[in-house]
Amino acid sequence: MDLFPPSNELGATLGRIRGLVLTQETAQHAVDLLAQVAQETTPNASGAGVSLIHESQRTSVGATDALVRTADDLQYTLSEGPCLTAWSTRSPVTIDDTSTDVRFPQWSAAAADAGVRSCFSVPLLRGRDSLGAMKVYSTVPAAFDDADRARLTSLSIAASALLGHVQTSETSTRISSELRESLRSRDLVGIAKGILMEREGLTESEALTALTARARITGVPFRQLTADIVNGHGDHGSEDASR
Amino acid sequence: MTFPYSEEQRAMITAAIVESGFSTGEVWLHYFSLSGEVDEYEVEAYLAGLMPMPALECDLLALAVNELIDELPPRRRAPFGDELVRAHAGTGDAPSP
Repeated sequence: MDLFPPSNELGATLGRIRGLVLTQETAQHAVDLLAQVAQETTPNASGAGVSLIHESQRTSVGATDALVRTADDLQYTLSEGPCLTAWSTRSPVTIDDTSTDVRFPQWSAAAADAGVRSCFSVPLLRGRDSLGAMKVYSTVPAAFDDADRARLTSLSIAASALLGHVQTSETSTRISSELRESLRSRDLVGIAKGILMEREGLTESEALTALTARARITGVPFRQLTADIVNGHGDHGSEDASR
Repeated sequence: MTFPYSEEQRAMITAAIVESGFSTGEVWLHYFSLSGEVDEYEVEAYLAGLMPMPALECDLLALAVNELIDELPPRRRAPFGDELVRAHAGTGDAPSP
């Protein structure tokens, strides 16, 4: 067992937690920065935004101003809009005038009310994955020409390569809570092993063998089985009598 | 450390992981939570047949894989006609004749 000192896997786990916290911050920082760059490269834009989308849910969003944020939020409350379509169809979407465009009737009407008249949205693609969308908005109709669209499309390729390497906040939250769970459950196994060693005079590996054998015979999940032993400690043999 | 069927066990653990669609990371995390001692990199090497693991760790890995498989949602079952009739009886939305 000396081949695998305990510090090894603990180090790996801590490394993962640290790395994930870092990537969560990085994702937000990256989308904020990219929204800024998108606006700077598109002089006709009144605002720009970058959204990371996972299973039709937005996981991170960067926006240059409140109008972009509003227009973007509307897409997710209405479940329609240029960015969602750019993301799901993997192709760019241009809206020259929100007051006449008929493709997203609810979104266009609400966006026009908020002051957005035209927009261009380009998907963020990485291999087979569609990561989200990058968009520019304007308060005047038909604000973007072919040169603007070509520039934003080139930028989206570089942005996708960057964003592909950062985790979305949703994923990292999920993983780090799984890690906490897993450490707790590992702790329970350790306590249960100690109880069996003390109570039945076993070595550590004999105790673990006994526990895995019990899990196999009873079909009770290991975590529950060890938790039962830990909670039933002092009440000798009650968990054995019931099985 | 190794027993005669260790290679067969390794191959079948790997096959079970591949077939159920779990990533090595997911399997390792669950194995770790069951008090597995071997770190992720080495478990991956074991699964690829590059290095052996202690027998008890192999069994713990098998247990972790099986628990993950047991947690998968069961396949959808086809309903019988009378089950649907009974299911709708209480709801009052009887189909029009």
